[in-house]
Amino acid sequence: MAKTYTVAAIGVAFASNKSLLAIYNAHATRKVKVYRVWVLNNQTTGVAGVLTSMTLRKISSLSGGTSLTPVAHDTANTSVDLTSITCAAGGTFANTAEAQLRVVMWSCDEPAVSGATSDEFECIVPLMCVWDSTGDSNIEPITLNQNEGVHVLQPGANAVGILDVFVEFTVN
Amino acid sequence: MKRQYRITIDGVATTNFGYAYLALVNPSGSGRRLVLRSVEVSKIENFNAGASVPSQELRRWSASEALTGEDVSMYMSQADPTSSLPAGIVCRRHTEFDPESSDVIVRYLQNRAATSVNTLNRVLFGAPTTFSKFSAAWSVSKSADLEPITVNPDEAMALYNANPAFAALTTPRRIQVVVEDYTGARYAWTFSANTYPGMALVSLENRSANPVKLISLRTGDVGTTDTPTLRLVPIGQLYSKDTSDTTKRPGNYSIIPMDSEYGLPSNSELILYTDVGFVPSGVPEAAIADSSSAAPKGLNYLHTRDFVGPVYRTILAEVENTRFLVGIQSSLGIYYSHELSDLLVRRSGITVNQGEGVGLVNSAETASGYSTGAIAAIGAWPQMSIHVTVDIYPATDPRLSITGLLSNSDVVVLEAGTETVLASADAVSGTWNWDYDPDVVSNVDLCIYRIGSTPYVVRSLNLGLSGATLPVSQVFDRNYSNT
Repeated sequence: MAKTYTVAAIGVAFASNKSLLAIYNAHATRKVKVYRVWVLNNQTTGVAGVLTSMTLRKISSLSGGTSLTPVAHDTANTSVDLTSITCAAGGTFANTAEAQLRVVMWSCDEPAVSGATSDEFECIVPLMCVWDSTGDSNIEPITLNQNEGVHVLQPGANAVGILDVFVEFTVN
Repeated sequence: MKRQYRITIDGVATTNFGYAYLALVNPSGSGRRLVLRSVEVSKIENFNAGASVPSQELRRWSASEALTGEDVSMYMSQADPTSSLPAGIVCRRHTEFDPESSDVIVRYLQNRAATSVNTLNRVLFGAPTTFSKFSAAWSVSKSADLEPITVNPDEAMALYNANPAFAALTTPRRIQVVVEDYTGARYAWTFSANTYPGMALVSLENRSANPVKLISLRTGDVGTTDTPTLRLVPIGQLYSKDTSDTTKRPGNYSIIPMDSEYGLPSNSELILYTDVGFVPSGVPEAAIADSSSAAPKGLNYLHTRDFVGPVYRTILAEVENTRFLVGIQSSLGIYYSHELSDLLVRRSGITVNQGEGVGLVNSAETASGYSTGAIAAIGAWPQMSIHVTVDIYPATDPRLSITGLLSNSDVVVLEAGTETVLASADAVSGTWNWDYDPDVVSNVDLCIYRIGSTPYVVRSLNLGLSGATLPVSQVFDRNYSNT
């Protein structure tokens, strides 16, 4: 089995045109395959939320930002490591010219107790899996060859609050 | 070799009843088969009755990075047919950029045709009805003393959807852009775009060597919040007037290889159309069921009142909108989910063979609505993001068959002109078969060796999509001596 990791960006603050979580593969021979991506409105502090959009798209470069360390699903699997694979929140990036893989509308407002608005639904994990290549072998994962990456991008300004982003991927 | 692609379509609608929002066609003779792996429809809309109207801002900045978004050059026309838009000037929709690094030139409220959020103008046959009109985000002044807005080389401009705390209705917009290049030639784009909060409706990027001037930028309120009755249906034949219309052909921007090593598909194996008319598959264009009262209305792709005809999937997408801050979200959040926004095409194996097509069509109509004079959900132009995951396979699994082999023959297949062994077999006789991947193998050198026979060699044997059968006649080697 290919070595599987989850990388998490916890409590990432919104900012204008911000890369919330990015994975970039600079390795010459290894392939990174992204299987699942979750975005969750896990915040409790009251904010003056706004409506924005969120996109999942490929990138051709990544630098800077807050470095994130993926967690291996099986520490006994030592077949590969994360050499030349970078994960970051708030990094500097260059989008590719292709269309986005997904676009969703996102409410930045904090969830409320016993509510049923978009703010609260954004906390329900099964609903918030915005990319899922598991459970159906016919859906290929997002494959990152050398010098390719993928990120969750929030393109708008004035977005406030925080969120959590998780990405599950393999390296082989 | 299988290749998988993700197709993304935004900002499209249908200009006539029964047209397909999106059609995928496998051309005749492609040698391929297309298998649908998912069809996802997400209604990316916010609807808050009574909330405020969002503002839009015309912004300009020095663009150090290339812009994202879909190039809408297929919607461009020039005032002088002999003029040519300078290379490097690109108009796009749905651009992501950093608005905080740009300057606001003008800000205005998104106009709406009606005072009631439930009563948007409806679009029939591509023309806005009633009193909706384009509002000018900007247009050049009649005064010669006032300069037009200029986008210099390496600058960009965008009409940005600002997102106030209570962003209200998001609807598709009709955009009209007119620019003038350094020679004085003018160019115009007219197209539709979705209002995605935080993204630009339209952007203009200038990578040419000279300035370009913005003459006018206008937007119009289009679309409805009505729910289309979506169907995924097989296509019989496309309207020829639409297949030759380049505005109905999305470009490579919309096709993303799941692995970049696949490259992009060619037009000989996959063609996309948007807003395209078609004849149903296997039934007359005006099909009537036995049980029908035979009162054709022409309001769906079958051009009849009856809900009959071949169909793969149907959905009444009442999971309409998100409701920002207010009430229970009508979409129940499912449109965020990659899997839940699929129309149950996953694991279906829906296959588009050569000469076939499949379309996502609006077949909305209501019998009672028509009889009372209230025509519901005509065309229904909500803000949708449509995605398709499709595999492209060879139509057949081609095979190279070598026949007439003498006993104890050794067969070697090399990459043509090289020493790279693709396949080999020892001590075979009669017939030997080799299944190959036509996307990997095209020309081979075939070598057959046998003790007592001269080597039988075929150089640069061309292997196509259909396979090949090669009878061989090995020759006895008179000079051979096994001592």
